[in-house]
Formats: sequence, C-alpha cells, structure tokens
Amino acid sequence: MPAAPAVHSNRPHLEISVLDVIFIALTIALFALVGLVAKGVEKL
Amino acid sequence: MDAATIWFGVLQAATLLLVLALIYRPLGDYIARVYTSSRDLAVEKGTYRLIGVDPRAEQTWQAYLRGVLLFSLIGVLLVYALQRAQAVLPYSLGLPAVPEGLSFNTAVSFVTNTNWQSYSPELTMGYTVQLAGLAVQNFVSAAVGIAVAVALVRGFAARRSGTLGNFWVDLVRGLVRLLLPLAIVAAIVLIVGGVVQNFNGFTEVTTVTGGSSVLPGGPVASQEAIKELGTNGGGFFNANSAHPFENPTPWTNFFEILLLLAIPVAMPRAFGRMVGDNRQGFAILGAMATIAIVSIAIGSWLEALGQGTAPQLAGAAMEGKETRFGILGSTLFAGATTLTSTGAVNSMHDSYTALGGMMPMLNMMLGEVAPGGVGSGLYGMLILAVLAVFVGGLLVGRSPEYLGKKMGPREIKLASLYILVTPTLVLLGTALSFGIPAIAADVESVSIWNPGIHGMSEVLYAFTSAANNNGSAFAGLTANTPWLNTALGVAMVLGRFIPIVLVLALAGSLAQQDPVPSTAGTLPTYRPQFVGLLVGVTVIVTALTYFPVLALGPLAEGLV
Repeated sequence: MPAAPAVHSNRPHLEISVLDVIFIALTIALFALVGLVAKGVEKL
Repeated sequence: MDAATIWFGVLQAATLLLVLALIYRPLGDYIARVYTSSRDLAVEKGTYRLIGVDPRAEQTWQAYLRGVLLFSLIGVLLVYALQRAQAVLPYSLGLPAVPEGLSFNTAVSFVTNTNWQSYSPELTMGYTVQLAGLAVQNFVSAAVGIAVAVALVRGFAARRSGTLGNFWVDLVRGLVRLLLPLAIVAAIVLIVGGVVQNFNGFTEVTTVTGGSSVLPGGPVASQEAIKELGTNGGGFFNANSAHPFENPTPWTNFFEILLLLAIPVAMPRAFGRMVGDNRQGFAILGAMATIAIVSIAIGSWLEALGQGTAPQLAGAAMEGKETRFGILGSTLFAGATTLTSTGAVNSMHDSYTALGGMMPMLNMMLGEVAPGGVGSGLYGMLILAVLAVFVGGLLVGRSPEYLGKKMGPREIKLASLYILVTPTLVLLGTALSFGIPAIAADVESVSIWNPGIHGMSEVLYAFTSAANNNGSAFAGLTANTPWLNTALGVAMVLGRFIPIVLVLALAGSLAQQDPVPSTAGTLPTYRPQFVGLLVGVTVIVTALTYFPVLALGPLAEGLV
C-alpha cells in the first residue's frame, strides 16, 4: 500500500535554526563580556 | 557654484544656528527639570509599580549599569525574535522572516542607537517589526543614552553620596516627559510637510506616460520624528532622508536637521544647570559648536570645489545628491548627522568627492561629540574635558580638578580607556576585514563595489560608523554578508556598552568624592582658554589615532 502523501501547509510558520541559537548565544556572550569588563574596571 | 546658491547655503546654516541658540536654554532647562524633579507623574508611578521599581531607591554605578545592560539585552532578544517571527506577524506585508545574521545585526543596531541598516527596509521589514521593534528601540535607546549622561552629571554634582540616581526612573522620565511629547509634535509637523503616514502597504499607480509604478506607504512620519530627535537615523525607506516620502522639501530637510541637533545641543545646558554653574555648560557647548562649525564649513567647501574628473566635467559634485537639497543642503545634513550619532542621510556619502567624503568619516572619528548623540555626545565631551583638565594640570604642574572633583589616577585611567575603545574596534575590524585571507576575499569580491583605495574607505567607514554607533553608510558596500553582519554587530555592542561601563564607573568614582573649593590655582573650566584646550585635545587625540588609516584611504584618494 503506497504511503499517504505528506501534507504541506503553505501557511507561514515559525522555524528555529542552528544559526538562531548561535546568534542568541553570541548576543548573551557579548553582554557577558561587557559585564566582565565592568568587573575588571571595579579593580582599577 | 553661483553666489546666490552660496548665500542661500550660508543663510540656511545661520538660521539653523539661530534657532538652536534660541532653544538651547529653554530645552536644556526643561531637560534638567525632568531629571531633577522629585515628583512622579501618574503614568510613571503606574509603570514603576508594573516593573516593580522603587523610584526613590538610589543606585550605585554597578546597579545602574546592571539596569542598562539587562534592559538592552532584553531589547536585542525581543527585536531579534520579532524579525525571525515576521512571517506570522500581522501587517507584515507578506514579507518572510528576516535571515538570522541580518536579524542579529539589525537588533543590535537599533538597541545600540546605531541604526546601521544592512537591508532595504521597504523590502525586508513589515509594519509590525518597524513599529513594535525598530520604532520602540528608537525611543528607548535614546532614553538610555540620555540616562547615562545624566548619571555622569550627577556624579559631578554629588557630594560623597556614591549613588547616581535610578536608571529605571531616568529611562521612564526620558520617554514620558521628553522624547514622546517632542516626537508627537515633530511627527505632526512632518505630516504637514508631506511625509507620509498610513498603513497602505504598496499601491500600484499608472504614471503620466502610461507605465506603472509601485508606491510604498507606511507609518513614516511617526518613525521619522524619533529617527532624528533620538539621533537614531534608521530610515523607513532604503534611501533614508533622500526619499521624498521621508523628506519631501527643503524646509522638511531643515526641520530634520534641527530635530537631530536639538537635544544634543541642549544637553550641555542641562549639565550646567545640574552642576549649578551654567557657564560650565556653555563652555562645553562652545567646544562642540567650534568643532561642528569648522567641520561643516570645510566639508561644504570641499564638496563645492568638486574635486575630481567627473564632478569637473559635470560642473558640480551632484552625484548621489538630491537636486531638492543641492550641495550645501546635503553637506549640512551630512555634517549634522555624523557630528551627532544619527546616521540618517539625505545624500550618498560614497558619491562625495574623496576629501569631501572624508569629512563625515572624520566627524565620527572625533567620537561624535560635537554635539554628539542624545546623551552620548555630552558624556563623550565630558570625558574629553577630564582629559583636557589633566593635560592642563600637567602643563602648569597642578593637581587636575574638574568641577571641584579631583582627577586622580583612577579617573584618568577610566577616561583614557574610554578614548581607546572605539578606535580599537574601528581599526581592528577594518584590519581583520583585509588581513584574514578568506574574509578579505569575501569582502573584496562581494562587499566592495569600488575596488582599490575607495573600497578600503568603504570598509573603514562601515566600522567607524558601527563602533561609534552612528549608523550612516558610505553606500557602495554590500554589508549583508555573514562577516560584516556579525563583525559590525559585535563592534556596535562593544562600541556602545564598554564606553558606558567606563562612563558609569567614572561617575561612581566622582560621586564618592566631596567637592573641593576652587582656589587661585584651579584651572577655570568656563573660559575661552579652556574651550580652546578642549577643542585641541579632541582634535589631537583623533588625529593621532586615525591619521595613518586616513592616509591609506580618503587622503590617498584625494591627494593622488
């Protein structure tokens, strides 16, 4: 018995990609770096 | 250029100066009242309750900084999410989700008050992202900049309190009492001037010759007002303020220049009021105005000369400029937008003559302090004032003081680090773009449209604009690539927030001091001599830092 054809929706949908994770991680890392700089500045 | 055109340009600049002089005092006094008032409006009290903030709680510089960073991080993540979800959002004009790299670059760009745009807005961003994401950041990023400047001023004014006010209160007050009311009035004026304000999307029309054309619409005036007023600069359309729906006439052009200069010019007055000596604010304004007038005059003169084969053959350097505004209407806008952190453009800076195009770049390299961005201009100039006081102290062998506060080793270290951050990002970013073979190959083959010296200037301009949070583009550079989206995004974040760390640390350090009374040996920081010293320090610091790279770019192109 042939498999039923997959149903594809043309409606726009949300997708989360690996690049999303990378850019969100980069954003958090950059702000963390700024926080680290602030810690260093306290010791000046 | 004929005499009538020159006189019209001079008259336009003189009128601008006059209007700015008229608003300096009332607007500056109003800004000072906004941030020193002990009363909260009902809407402000409601907001504080909603976000769980005690408006009377004073913050140390570390707590103030935590507020700035947390608020900005959430802003980046929200704008990123909005762009990535664009396809399912209402009023998205059928546009797909914005790609990941571009979403990162744009989110960072608008949160850092840079408004660099690696995309064509009308083809990339629907109305929901424009309004809920970008326009909101136009307001709040400007309010953050003003808040940081106010915190530094409080540091100068404080008497051993060690605290700088409350970031959340400053943020809310800046929005509710300053930016929103002014932006509403400005938007109405722009609508009267012909700037469009609708939700029509794209309208197909038949032209007089029988052809067809598509006219874009959108809520432009509301975004245009805060774009200029908050020294943001991100255009609703790709052509930015050269687009007739964003900037239809010479008088809207004048009004937009006025808007982008209004708050930065008034901030020194607010500073003077808050430290209890208006002469100090006037001296800071004097240094800002001296640099701005000289820079705009030189830039206009260079463009009017029309150096180069093509401008000479054409009779004037009009490539990339709107005939509505002419050369002087364009150079005045270019100067104003790069001397502040606005970055809006009404002409394509890439098409300027080699040396004329160097001027917008040089304005940004000066650190955007004349008069600079909303808030960032004042705190940038105050850092340079600290350095000028230090240099003055070295010259006469006195212990440096500014506004009664001792400039000790910690203060000078913080000020010195501040002026090193941005040049490091600019020069490192430019160097990496050409120094790493794989990246260089991509930059040279995909991004640069004009190979050779001018191409190098395009990349230098991009990093200068990003690290200084200006956002104007030299054009002629395809920046929507993995390398430039990411590297420019990193430059924007670090170029915005590391200087803020240093400014707030300096403010905290000053707030712990008790002011010392001035003596006969104190350097008077309100006299013309100090203004001259401050201008000298600003120019020399910039010249020493950037002269070598300018020699490789616009200077080489203009002088060979």
